[in-house]
Amino acid sequence: MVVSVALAVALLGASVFLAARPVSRRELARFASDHLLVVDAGNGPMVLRHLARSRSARWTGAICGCVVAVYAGAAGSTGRWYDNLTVMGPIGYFLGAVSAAAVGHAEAPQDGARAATLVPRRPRDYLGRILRWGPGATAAVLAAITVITWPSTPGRQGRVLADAVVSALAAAIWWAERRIVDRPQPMTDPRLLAADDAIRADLMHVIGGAGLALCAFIACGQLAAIAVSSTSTHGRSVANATAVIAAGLGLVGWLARRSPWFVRRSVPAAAAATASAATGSPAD
Amino acid sequence: MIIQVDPGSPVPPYEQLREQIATLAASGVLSAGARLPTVRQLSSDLAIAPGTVARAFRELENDGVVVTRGRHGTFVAAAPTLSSAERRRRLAQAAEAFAAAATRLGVSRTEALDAVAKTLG
Repeated sequence: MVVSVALAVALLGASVFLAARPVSRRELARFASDHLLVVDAGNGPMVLRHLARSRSARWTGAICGCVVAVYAGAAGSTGRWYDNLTVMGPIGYFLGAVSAAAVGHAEAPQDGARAATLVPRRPRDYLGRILRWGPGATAAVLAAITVITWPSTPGRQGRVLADAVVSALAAAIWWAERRIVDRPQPMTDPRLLAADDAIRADLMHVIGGAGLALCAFIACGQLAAIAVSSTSTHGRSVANATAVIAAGLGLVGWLARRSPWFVRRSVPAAAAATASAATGSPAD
Repeated sequence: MIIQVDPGSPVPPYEQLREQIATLAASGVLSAGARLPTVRQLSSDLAIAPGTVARAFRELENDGVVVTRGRHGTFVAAAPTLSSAERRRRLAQAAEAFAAAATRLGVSRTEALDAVAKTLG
């Protein structure tokens, strides 16, 4: 018990440290290079605020998830999903990423003229196919395999619950991504637009990647359980093969959450504006 | 392709939107087939009611400037091929609107015609 409490206090201390630590030049340079973004005095504060807020929210979430797991373990729970650090850590990380996306976006001014760009924003501007479709496809495949192996496997109640959790998670990811795409972008300076788009792409990658990893790892565990308990040889081999694919997909999602992404709708205009500002000629 | 709405203007916001999008489409800045943002996006960016943007889009659709393709979105329509009679009718309508505005401003006939010539280039 004492060890668990000490561990929980240490984890919360680490959380406070991570939340309070300023954004380093290396982090800023990595973000700029990942999104082909020119960070200047105009868009720098916006990017720095995003990096500080999103990092602290993600890691605070992950650490809180770990604390819950440690506490559940200390309270005598064993073999449950909520006392497992490798489950609760990513869940906390994902919830932290969603909470970081929910706050701190720009709002249009309430008085005076308001301006907006007529270039539409779509989810595919910010996210690749695997992260966009992966969670939904994982939920659909898991549901299909549950139905196919229904007669030959025991423990159906838990299986339906896992399917429902993965489906709800996929729906939540889709909803969060739509909210990020649709939130206001009340700016017209190309460099601010590019920074805002890079921030959206970063938020969506973290949510899409961590969400896909969660969906795929839950599906993988479920498929492995089906493979072990199935009385049908065919059902067992299908469940085994898809469990391996789900594990691979989860790994891809986790790695893709911090992958570089270039937003085509705004970055070229920002580069042109920066170049023209450097040479002193007016941008079109 | 920037669009502006001034809530303090006597022109209603939906009319400001309609006019700017129609001008951008007519001048070719918005090319035929270009997709417009969704009603929700434009209304949140400009902090105006979604109904205002929807009304501007509806009027643009009635004028043949944009077409709505169900859930795929709203697109700039190809330039309509008008008959010469229809073209003359619309030109007369636009001239009447301009003449009325010039009269309200109290400018002379020469000043008004100069302004048109300057705009036409």
